[in-house]
Amino acid sequence: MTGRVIVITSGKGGVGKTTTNANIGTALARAGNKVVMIDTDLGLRNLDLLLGLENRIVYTIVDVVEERCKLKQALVKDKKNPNLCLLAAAQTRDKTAVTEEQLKEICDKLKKDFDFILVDCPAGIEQGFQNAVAGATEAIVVTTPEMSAVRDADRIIGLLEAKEEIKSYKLLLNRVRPNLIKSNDMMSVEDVVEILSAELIGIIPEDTGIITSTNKGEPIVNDEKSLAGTAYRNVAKRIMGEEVPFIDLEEATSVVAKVKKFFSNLIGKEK
Amino acid sequence: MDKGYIENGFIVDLTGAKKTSEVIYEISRILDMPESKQKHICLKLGSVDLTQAELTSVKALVELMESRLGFISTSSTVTLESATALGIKISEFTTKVEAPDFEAPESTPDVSNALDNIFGEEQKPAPINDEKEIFPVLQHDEIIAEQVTEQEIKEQSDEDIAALKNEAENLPTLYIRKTIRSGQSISSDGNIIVIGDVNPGSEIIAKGDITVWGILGGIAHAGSDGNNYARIRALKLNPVQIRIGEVFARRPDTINLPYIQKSSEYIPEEAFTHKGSIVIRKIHEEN
Repeated sequence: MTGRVIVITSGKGGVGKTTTNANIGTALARAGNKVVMIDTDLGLRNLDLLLGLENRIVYTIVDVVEERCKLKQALVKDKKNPNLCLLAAAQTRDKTAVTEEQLKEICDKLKKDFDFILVDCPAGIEQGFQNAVAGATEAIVVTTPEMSAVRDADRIIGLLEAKEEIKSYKLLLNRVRPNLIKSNDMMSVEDVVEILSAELIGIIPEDTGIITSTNKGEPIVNDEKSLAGTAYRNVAKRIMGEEVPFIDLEEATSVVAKVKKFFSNLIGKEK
Repeated sequence: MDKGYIENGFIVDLTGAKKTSEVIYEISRILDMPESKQKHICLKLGSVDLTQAELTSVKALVELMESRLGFISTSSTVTLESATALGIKISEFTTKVEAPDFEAPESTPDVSNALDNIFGEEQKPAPINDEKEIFPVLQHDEIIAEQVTEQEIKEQSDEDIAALKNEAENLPTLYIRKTIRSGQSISSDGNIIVIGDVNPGSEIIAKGDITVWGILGGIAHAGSDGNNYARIRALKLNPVQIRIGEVFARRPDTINLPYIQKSSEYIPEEAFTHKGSIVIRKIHEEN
C-alpha cells in the first residue's frame, strides 16, 4: 500500500487549517480509508483538541524522532473511528525539535500502512512550514475570502510550486458567507480563484456549528445535517477522485432553503 | 525501545525483535548509552530463536559494554535450551503492585480495558460515584515500567516502603508563584509547589510530591523516579493526564472539558495510587 501524503497549509493563521485537517481526515476515514493525521505545529498544537484526543496522548512526534518510543506507539486512535489515527505534536518543544528529513522518514514509514497521511502545517513560512511540506506530494491551500489571507495563500502557492516533490496543489476556500458576497461586501469565490489561479477542491460556508464542534472535540463532518459538514464530506470525496458538484451556497443558505429544511426535518421526525 | 527499571539494572524489552540481527542491534544501541554501564541487564526476548552460539555472542556483547547479563525471558524453546546449556538464568517477568494502607474506595475502575481505553479501541466511560472520581488506569506494561521479583532484585521491605512514603519530606522543594501556561514544563528533583494555576498543555514533573494552589489542568507526574507513594494535591484536580510513580491515568471522556470554570469555593483534592490505580478524593474526607 502506498499512501498519499497531503499537507494542509495556508500561510496565514486562523483561516481553518486545523479544522480542515480534522474534518477531511474524519470524512476520509468514515469513507473507509485508513487515515493518519500528523500535527507538525510543535509548541502550539491544536489538532488533538479538535478531535477530543488530548487526554490520550502519551507519546508525541518528538518522542518518535528522539527514539523514546516506536512510531506505532505514538499513534493515537480516534474515539469513534478505528481507521483514524493521530500523531500529535509536542507542546513543550519548538519547531526546531524535528527536521525535514525526520518528518519525511516518518511519512515514508506511514505510507506503507495508511491510505492517506494528512499533515497539519503551522502558520508561517519558516521551519515549521518547511518541515510539514518535506514529506508531502500533494497540498491543500486553505484560504478565506479576505485580502490578507489570499495574499498569504499566493505566497504559499509560490513556495509550493518551487518544491519539486509537490506534484499538485488545490485550493480550499473557507468561511464563505454567501449573503456578504451577494451584497458585494466579500470577495466572491470566482474572484479568489481568479487571483490565485488554482484549482478549487472545496468551498466551505461559515458555520457557527464549527465553534461548538471545536469546543466539544467532535469534527462537524459527523453532523449529517450541517452544511459545512456536507461541504467537507464533498471535499473528501473529491480527494478520493469522485466528481461532486459544488454546493450552491447562496441557494442553500437562502430563507426558502431554510424553511424547506425546517419542514423536511419536521416530517422526518414524525416518521 | 522501552526500558523498565529494576533496582540494580534494567530490563531491555526486545519482544519486538524478530531476528537475531535486530536483537544484537538493539542491545548495542541501548548499552551504548552511558547510564547503562556497570548495570545488571535483563533481556526480555520474544519469539526469536537464538542458538547457543548466538546467545554466547549476545552475552559477550553485554560484557563488552561493561554490563552484566542478569537473566532473560523468552517464548522460544530454542533460546530456552541455549540459555539452559549456557547456564543463563531464565525468568518469567512478574508485575508486583504494593497495596497502600488506606481502605478501598467504594468502586474500582475496570482496568481490564484500560489499555484499549487509552488508545481508543473501545469506549467505556470511567465509573464515577458521588464524590470520588476514579480514572481509568493504564496497567503495568512495557510502555511504563516494571517491577520484578527475582532473587537478585530485593523485594521491597517494610522499611523501604516507609522510606518511600516519607521521601517527600526529605526532598528539597521548588516554590513557584506564577501561572504555569501551555507549553511550559517544570521538572524538579524534589517537590514542587505552585501558587497559581497549571494550565492545560503544560507539564509538571517532580521526584516528590506536587502541590498546586489553584487548578491543575495540565499533565502532572509525581514520584518521577518510580515512587508510587508520591501524591498530587490541588485546589481542583482537572489534569489531562496524571502519573504517580509508575501508575498512569487519563481524564475520563465524560468530563473531557479543556477548561474548568473558576469558583470561589474549592474543596482541595488529592490524587494517590491504590492497588495500581490512581484515585482522587476530596481532602476533607481524610479525617
